[in-house]
Amino acid sequence: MKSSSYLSILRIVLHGRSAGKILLATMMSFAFSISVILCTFGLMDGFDHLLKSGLRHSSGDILITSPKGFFFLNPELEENLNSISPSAIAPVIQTEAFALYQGQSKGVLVRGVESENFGRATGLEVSVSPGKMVVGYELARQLKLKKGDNVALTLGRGNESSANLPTVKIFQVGSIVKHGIYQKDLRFVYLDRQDLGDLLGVGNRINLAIVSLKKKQRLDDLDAVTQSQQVLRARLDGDYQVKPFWNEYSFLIEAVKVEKLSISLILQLIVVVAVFNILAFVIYIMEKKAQDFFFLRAIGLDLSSLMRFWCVSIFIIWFFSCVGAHLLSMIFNWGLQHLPFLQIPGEIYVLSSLSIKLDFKAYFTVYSVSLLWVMLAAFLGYLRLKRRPIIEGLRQEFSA
Amino acid sequence: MSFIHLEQVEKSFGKTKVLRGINLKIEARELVAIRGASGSGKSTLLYLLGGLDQPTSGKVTIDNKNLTSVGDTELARYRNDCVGFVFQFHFLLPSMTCRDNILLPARIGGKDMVRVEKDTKVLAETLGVTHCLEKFPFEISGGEQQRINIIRALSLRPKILLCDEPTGNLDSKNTEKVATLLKNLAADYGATLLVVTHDDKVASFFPRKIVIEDGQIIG
Repeated sequence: MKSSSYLSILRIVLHGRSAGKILLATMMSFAFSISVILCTFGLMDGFDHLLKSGLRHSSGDILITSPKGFFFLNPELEENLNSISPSAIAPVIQTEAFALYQGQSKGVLVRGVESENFGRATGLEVSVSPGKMVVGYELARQLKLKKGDNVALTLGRGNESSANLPTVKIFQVGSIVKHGIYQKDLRFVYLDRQDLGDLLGVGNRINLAIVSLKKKQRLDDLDAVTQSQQVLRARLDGDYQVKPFWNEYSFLIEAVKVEKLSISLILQLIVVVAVFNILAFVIYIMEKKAQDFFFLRAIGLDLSSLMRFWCVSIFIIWFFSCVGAHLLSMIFNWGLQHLPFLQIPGEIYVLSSLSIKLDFKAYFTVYSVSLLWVMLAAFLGYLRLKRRPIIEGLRQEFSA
Repeated sequence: MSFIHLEQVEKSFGKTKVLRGINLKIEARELVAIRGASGSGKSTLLYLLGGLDQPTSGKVTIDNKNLTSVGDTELARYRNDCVGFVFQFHFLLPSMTCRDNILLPARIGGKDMVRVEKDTKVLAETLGVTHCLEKFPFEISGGEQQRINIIRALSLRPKILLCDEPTGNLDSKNTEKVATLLKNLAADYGATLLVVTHDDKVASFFPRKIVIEDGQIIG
């Protein structure tokens, strides 16, 4: 079918006041339906991605702890860890404490780290120095902390003068850090490892080693981390616990995966409703323009050309609906990040903020399924026209 | 073999037999009127000849092409290449100017537009409707609409011009004009003309008359 004959038929189809408006409304409803699915997919993928990257940002790739508590990062352990060719190993001391500031207190997890090592192992820049502390973003917000403020930390270890009282030490806020995970932003406090080691009296011992792998794997393909975890588990033989960085939220990641499948199936209903709109449009055109179509067939338009016309038209409707859906999802994504009423409560959703993440696979899945639906609608419309012989159609239409 | 050859053609719609054992031969360039009362089957016969429908049984051969054994695409090409239709209802599409209405069959058939446009211009001048070409159908009179309809039917120089009650909506003065016009144009273009009518006066304009009654040729 030549473009000139396609345009001629299109002109016939769109002639009249209502046809264009109905077409526009059909496209908008279809675009909206597709965007609902895209946004849902995007939210779930975004949640998964942000959660994993946030976790990796504070935990590296693999976490080593000991059932006995504190341990030395001795040459033997280092040799075992080197078997997976890590890019960095960060010794960490972590303990619970209370942060006190102007009469308010918060339970926090204090981490004693070495800035350089920790940064290389996690990618999180934490500049700790003696006497100074780095606090999570949410903690700073809730306690109204700013750089230079003095915060008292009460640690569980017995006071030097009275063993029944906790140790209280004042640190100055050196900087504020953002993990991207609400709970970590609210609870994490970083100190210089030497400072914390001295306070706890553990010397050079640590209770956590963060290992990062050389080749950063994509966050949705974590096989390398799992493989390295298995290697280390075999080598460390029960003396240490070896966990991947997503371990603490693995239930949530699994839940999102299951929800994504079930919700995408349910949301197909929305697409089906939109496809009914398209089918209604096709039937409307077939009825309203039946006389014209039968006449076109009488002057030489064959059924296969008519089918091609419908396919191209439906494809164009689908294409513009997809563009519309993409724009709507971008608007929603912008709203998620800028409009207060769309922002998620971090204490419920773990993450401090959420954005839509859509990759090629998500677009391909949503768009191709919607294309299949609309093509089915086009085919039904075509069958409707094919069923009636030209002469019958012409006579009926003329007598109407 | 004759240009148009029908052998034992029957056509039924459900249980109703509309055409019964039609045998007919028409030579090329013949000018024929098919006359019959309403419901006699004359329009159905015309539509079979135009490839708009298929017979229930029998054989329709036109220009050595058996229309009963070809598929939809070839039949559509036959309608576009060989047949010009003039319907009682002029059937000009309201979304297009008269010129675009005339050029529509050429566009659908992917024809040489330059030649068709040239023919259109000549025909419009001959029929006195040049001033109508850039107008929409609703902007011109009923007589002008019918003349545009005739130009469209002739625009691709068809071998057969099929007219279904072409004067059905016209007064007696215009009826005579249109009947004469069709006869002259078909002769000029070398087309075989078949005009279906229930009007004896219209039929009298054409040298050969076929009379149909109850789906059978009786004269």
